Amino acid sequence: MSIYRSHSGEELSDEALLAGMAAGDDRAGATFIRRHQGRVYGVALAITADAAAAEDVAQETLIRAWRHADVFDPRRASVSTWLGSIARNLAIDALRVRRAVPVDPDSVEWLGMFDDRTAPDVAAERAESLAVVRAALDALPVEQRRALVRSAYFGQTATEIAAAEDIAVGTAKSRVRLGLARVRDLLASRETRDGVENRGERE
Amino acid sequence: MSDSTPRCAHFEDDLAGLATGTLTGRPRSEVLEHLQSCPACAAELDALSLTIDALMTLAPDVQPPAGFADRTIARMKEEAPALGADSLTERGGSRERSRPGHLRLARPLLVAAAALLVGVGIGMAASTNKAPGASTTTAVRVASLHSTDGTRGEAVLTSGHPGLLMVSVDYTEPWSRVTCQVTLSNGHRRVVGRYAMSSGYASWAIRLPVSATSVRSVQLLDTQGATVAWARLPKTTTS
Repeated sequence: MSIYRSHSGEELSDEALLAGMAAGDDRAGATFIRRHQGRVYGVALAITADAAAAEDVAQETLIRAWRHADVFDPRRASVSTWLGSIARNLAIDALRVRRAVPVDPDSVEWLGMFDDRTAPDVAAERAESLAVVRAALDALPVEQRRALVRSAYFGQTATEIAAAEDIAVGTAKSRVRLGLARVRDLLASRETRDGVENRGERE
Repeated sequence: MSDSTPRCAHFEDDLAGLATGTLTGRPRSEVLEHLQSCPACAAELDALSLTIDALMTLAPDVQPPAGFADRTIARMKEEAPALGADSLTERGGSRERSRPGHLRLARPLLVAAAALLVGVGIGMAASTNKAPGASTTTAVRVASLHSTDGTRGEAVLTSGHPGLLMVSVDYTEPWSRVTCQVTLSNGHRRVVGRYAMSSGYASWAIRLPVSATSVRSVQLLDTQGATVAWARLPKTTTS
């Protein structure tokens, strides 16, 4: 798709392709989709664990992006993050309709599958940020991590988590909140400290 | 959350539920109502939502089955209004279309779109006769948007089906609405959109209901119909 390089030969930015797609330019659209389909489909597949449902979610994600390009705010998040967020919400909606959690969300084993499949083909920078997020999740007490994974990746409500974990609804809620707040704080401290030595394992 | 109130503590758990999208019913509407009047909690929600986004990066990229992009584009076309059919409604005194396929773009996107289209234009020019199947008539024209006291913005026009007009304008006047009009080579004028103006900067993109190559100039009119800004487009260089 050499035509979708600028005259200086660089690849066009995500924002440029998104704008072109929103304006009805097929070739910009095709380039944009090919660039992001792995991310969008990957998120959809991780949540639904169903190839047909994941394709549907992935398509709908890109169609929403195309239709709502005007609300994308590049100062807030990258295009890739924005798409991941849309895909997550749609995948969780799809799960809700089916009322099933496809993968046993015992977080440690479940997240283990991410390592091998992601590591080889991602750029070093992304691998590093993945490691940071992964470390933050690993640093949580196990019951908070389980609750957060159920909520964040499978869209389970507090009531559903309470039933699955055999705990009170209030406990489920606060575990999600504490886990999420802790991850946020850990990510923020990584950002400001830029520290490699911070292994995120203190308790 | 330095400005948090005792009331905010009551919503702590539900804020997390809102960020994960798992809160429903009454608690959801209550926390949404609280957010209207509490910037501290709104900021907290934003931070938690970004944390969820960060967690999603752990999901691996997986390529979808072959043909995915084509199927997605086909679905987009099914949902898009039939814009191509508009290209010959260039009649004197024709009625204004209710929605001539315009879309608003945030400023960064508009700039990006202009860069894309200019880039494509240059790419096309460099590869004339070489791109099988590609339209050889894509041309991009750029003109400054003027008012009586100077340059105010830019108009970018690309040919193609449909042609696309992008306008960006900075202004200080209390314009509440402007009408965007194009003047065609046969002298006819055609309203292509009306826009509310509120923040001192506006930009929009319009899929043109007329042949792009016939457009000679673009005018912005105020609510009284007076021309407040205009751009004269260069003649097309490709034929």
